[in-house]
Amino acid sequence: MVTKKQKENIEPPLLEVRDLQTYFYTADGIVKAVDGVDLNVYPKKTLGIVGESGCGKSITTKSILRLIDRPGRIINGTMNLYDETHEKSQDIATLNSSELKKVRGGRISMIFQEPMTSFSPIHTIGNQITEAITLHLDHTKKEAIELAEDWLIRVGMNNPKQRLKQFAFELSGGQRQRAMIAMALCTNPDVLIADEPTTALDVTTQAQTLDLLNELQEKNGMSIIMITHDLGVIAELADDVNVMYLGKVVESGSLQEVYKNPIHPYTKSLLSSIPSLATKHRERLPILQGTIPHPVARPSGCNFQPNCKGDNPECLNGEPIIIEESAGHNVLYCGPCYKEHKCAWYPRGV
Amino acid sequence: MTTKSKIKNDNIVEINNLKKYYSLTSGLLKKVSGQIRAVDDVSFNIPRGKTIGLVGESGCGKTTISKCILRAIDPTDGDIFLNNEDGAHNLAKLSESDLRPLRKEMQMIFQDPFSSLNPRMNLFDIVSEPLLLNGVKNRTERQDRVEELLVKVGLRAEYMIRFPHAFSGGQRQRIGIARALALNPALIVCDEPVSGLDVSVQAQVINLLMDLQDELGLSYLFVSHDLSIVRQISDQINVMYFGRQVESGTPDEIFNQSMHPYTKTLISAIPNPDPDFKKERQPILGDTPNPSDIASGCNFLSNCPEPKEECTTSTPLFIEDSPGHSILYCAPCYDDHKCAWYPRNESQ
Repeated sequence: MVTKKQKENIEPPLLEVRDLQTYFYTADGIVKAVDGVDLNVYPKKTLGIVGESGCGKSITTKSILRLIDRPGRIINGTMNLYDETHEKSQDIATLNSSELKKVRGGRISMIFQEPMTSFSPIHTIGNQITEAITLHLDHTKKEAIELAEDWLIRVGMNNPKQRLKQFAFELSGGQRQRAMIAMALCTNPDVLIADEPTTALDVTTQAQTLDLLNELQEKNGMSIIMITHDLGVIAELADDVNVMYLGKVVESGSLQEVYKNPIHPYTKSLLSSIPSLATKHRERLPILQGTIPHPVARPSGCNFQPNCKGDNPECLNGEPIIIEESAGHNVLYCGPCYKEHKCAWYPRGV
Repeated sequence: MTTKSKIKNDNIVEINNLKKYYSLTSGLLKKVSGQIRAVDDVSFNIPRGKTIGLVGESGCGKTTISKCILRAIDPTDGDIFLNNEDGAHNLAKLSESDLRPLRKEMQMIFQDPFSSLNPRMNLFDIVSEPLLLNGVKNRTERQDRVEELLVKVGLRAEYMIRFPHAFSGGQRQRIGIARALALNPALIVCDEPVSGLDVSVQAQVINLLMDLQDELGLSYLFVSHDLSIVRQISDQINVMYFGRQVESGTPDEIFNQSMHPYTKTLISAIPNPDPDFKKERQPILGDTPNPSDIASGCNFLSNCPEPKEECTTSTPLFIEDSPGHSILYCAPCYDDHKCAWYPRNESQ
């Protein structure tokens, strides 16, 4: 296991997302899947995005690659991807399709949750990896095959020559995910987006995959955006954490800050709802009261109104505000209740 | 449950030497070319009102065991006794018609709450179907029972006319639980009941299962690959590897005093949510062997630095080391304690 990197983020971010809004215009109404998200991805660091299903974590990263299909639309936001010297930047939101092709799979790669469905079943593993290489790097077919073989060795697969000729269904779940990682990294991307990469795997295979990602990050120096609902996986891999709820980031900061000193009630309840080593046998776990509102019926104003016992009418319209509690540790507060500190969802309690 | 006092046996289910082999055939004539030992000589009891956890990686046979208990599949060999007020019934040997009256005592909660509910049936139909099939013809009677069940699992009675698509994953899992409870079963097999749910909803469903157990005296067989949840809810845990029990004991014995290297590996692979946690991960086993290659001998041969000739053929021993805590030993290595997979090797 690689030791945790707890350095300060002195370097400027590699990818800076500001006020990203992705809405889905469905027949039932507008779903604000991502509603004003800010992200900073630092070079050679791992950003963990954690939240429950429907909180917008996957849509956020799909928006970064502009992979949003209709009826979805990115309606606002900038996504600045900087170069190594941090002098020039491109805003992914405004790129044309040929520029976008270079970013997708070139500077930003993605690995998906289900390695079975994300490989083509009718092409060999080798075909699919070399396709990525020839598209993004100036390699001949022969060089591409050599590089693909080299990458399969780097991700710890035995017998790479034979693997290249195999189809995805001939590999086990863990091997498939390794092949997926090899395919994503063979173009030397600056950012790797991993969308629940270990959810479909057994714990032991999950541990191997996480160790592999950590190891490859040390060697290759790419940044990782790790999306998961598993708080344990985040604790193993991430340097910074963003906690999302209903399309908004409710708390963000370093792993230590967010896990050890959570301020927002939602973060606290999320952290307390998983059994830990300290939980006694058959002890009831604390749970978040209330239910998650339906996507089209999300409250305006404060996200937590359905869970709030207060009766401040301003909460219906007042926009939530983000307050920097300490350096790099941001918390979402209910706007109207912030000054008086009266709301039950005022993060510091009443 | 008033009938309980009449029953002498404390175990609702006793499983003795359960085996389930699948034959592999090849060629036009379907010649048997090998066997997959999905479940190989597994024995354990499910005490009344307690929870037994089954953990292990995919393919280790945990779902096969639960299906054998419910006789969704027929075991190859072994006995499964269900003890009720009429005495012991061997589920493994009973005919389909003799089995039918016993089926209502065993129910199942499924992993995926999205595919286990019929989208064309409303909640009343879903929850009352087991009642209808078991002779409750009166509609008002069924309606009252469904109402009672929905309230019991934390849903509102007026949801009865709605269809599954109107509910979230956690609510659907509650519907599945209500359906399982409809016939007052004594045993509920929970096959990965929370693995498709979010963490906060997971906690709600686990809490509900524990509350219902306290209230109704249910026994659970809890199948999961999530070890931290199994530790939380179970009274006894069986760790499985390729059809065999590797270690069996209380949660404390499995998590804090585990002896078998495989159990240690499995536990050290769980991601810990504490960022300060310094982990000493046990080496992970190499590629899992092809199930058809597993011979009758030791399961861990491919990871053994110096396997002996006898190791490939002699059946491993599952020995009770201390009361209630059993461990799988490689038989030829048991006496001289030499094998790397001899579970006590490290502590000695």
